[in-house]
Amino acid sequence: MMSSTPSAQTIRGTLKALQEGDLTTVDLMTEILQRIQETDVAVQAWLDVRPQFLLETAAVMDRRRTLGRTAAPFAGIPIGVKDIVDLAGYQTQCNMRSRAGCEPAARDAKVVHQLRKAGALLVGKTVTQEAAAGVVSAPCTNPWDTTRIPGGSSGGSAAAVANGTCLGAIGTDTGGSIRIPASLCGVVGLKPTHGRTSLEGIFPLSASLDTVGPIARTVADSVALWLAMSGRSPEISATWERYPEAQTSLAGKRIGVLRSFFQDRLQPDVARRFDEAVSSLRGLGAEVVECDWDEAASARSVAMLISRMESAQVHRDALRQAPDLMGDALRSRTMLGAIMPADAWFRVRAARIGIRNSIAAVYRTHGLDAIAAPSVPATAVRCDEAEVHYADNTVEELGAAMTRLTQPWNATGQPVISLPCGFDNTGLPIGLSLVGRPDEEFALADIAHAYEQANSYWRMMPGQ
Amino acid sequence: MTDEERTMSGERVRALAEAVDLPLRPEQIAPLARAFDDAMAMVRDLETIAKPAGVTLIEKYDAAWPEGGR
Repeated sequence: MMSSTPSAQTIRGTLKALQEGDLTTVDLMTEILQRIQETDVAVQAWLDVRPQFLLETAAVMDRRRTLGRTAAPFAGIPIGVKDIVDLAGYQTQCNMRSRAGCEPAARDAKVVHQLRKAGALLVGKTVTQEAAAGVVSAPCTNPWDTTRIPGGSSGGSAAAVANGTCLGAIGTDTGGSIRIPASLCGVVGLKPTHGRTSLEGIFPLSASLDTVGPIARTVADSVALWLAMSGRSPEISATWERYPEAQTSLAGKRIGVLRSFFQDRLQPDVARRFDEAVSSLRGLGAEVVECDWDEAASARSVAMLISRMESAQVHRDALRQAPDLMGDALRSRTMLGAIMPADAWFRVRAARIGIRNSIAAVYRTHGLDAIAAPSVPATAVRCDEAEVHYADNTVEELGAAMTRLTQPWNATGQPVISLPCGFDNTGLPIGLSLVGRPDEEFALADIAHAYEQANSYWRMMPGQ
Repeated sequence: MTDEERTMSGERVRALAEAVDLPLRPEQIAPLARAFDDAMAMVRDLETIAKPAGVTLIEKYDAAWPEGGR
């Protein structure tokens, strides 16, 4: 049987147990289903799980393994699918009232298809925010404290992984929707380079920003899941070798810490854990370089404006024909996008190029391999709170606070990994973001993995 | 913002919405006008971002990250 030890909750550990005959897929799935039954009443990460089908599929996988026919690199690994991603035979409701009675998807999204080919067991659909536009993901709650939000919009995916009801999940990120819930739920989220992983079969929010990526317990698991989603399964075995379960050095790596914007207005525990993380990176041999990126706030504006204008096009018909079926937040943002003039669109797109040049110059000037920053400025708020409170008695609207440090990286399109870097004084997880160069996910994961192995926050699980 | 500016802003938003066939309820106009003014201020601020000469809308990483930005 799968145990509740941390390594048993990883894709790496579970694959090993399955391959060596210490675990059957049926036993694994039985335990997953039992955990869902016991815990998901409170967490509500899952929308549609079909136990009988999953157990039958697991039994087939075990029979194939017994017959020596299982070469698939992800055979039997339970994976959740965010409910804006098509899973054949399941509705894609996107938490939208207008899609409540929609037909089930006729075929898998490309990333789901690739996962199925790799042998993954697709557990079901996970809860998201309406149209993937927001940071709350109600009715899902945070497994570390079920009176608090999991973050969003991939809240169900992050909560399901944190809660041990799957070993990995698909998330999407337009303004932080992988990294925010990963941070608040104490798991790893990888936003790959924009435009490199197929969005086919995924309900759009903002095509110029939308990115699909993995959420998992460890950095190595996240990279392996991303490769499986991308149809690059043959590279997975090399992933386990590249990211060993052992401490690695960061000698020769240069990591930038941005002095302003990313250090402004943080909750004290977030600031403290971030400082500790930077010290840890330095202790592992990295050279830490303080630097400035004057365009950070503008980068955030660019991402926000593009998102508003593009999502207005996605919801164009609904906004005119059935606005009452839209929640207030979605309706307000799409109304704004709908009336923005074309001139603004062109100016924002041109500014985005300037933004990309400016961050590239920061990396070039300082010879950086990555930038480190807090993932979000605060820990998970209570489900009934709409604001974040800071030590100086100021408040910030929840959505603005949660996306403040994530959105700039959607404008630049760079890969980002958010991984756990400790807890606040009430035991809520805090996330560290490491930001790499475009298309350098593996090199970025080298740094994240070294930090993870040295600090072991990934071993902490809710309820322990 | 003065009352007169607020009224003008509301009128502009009403006209823009009408131009794109977007029905607005009266109570939606004031918050939308505020959001619109904030968004347009952001757009104006972006004018300060240095863009390369002959900027086009082709967004390629190769352009911003020659040799990966190294």
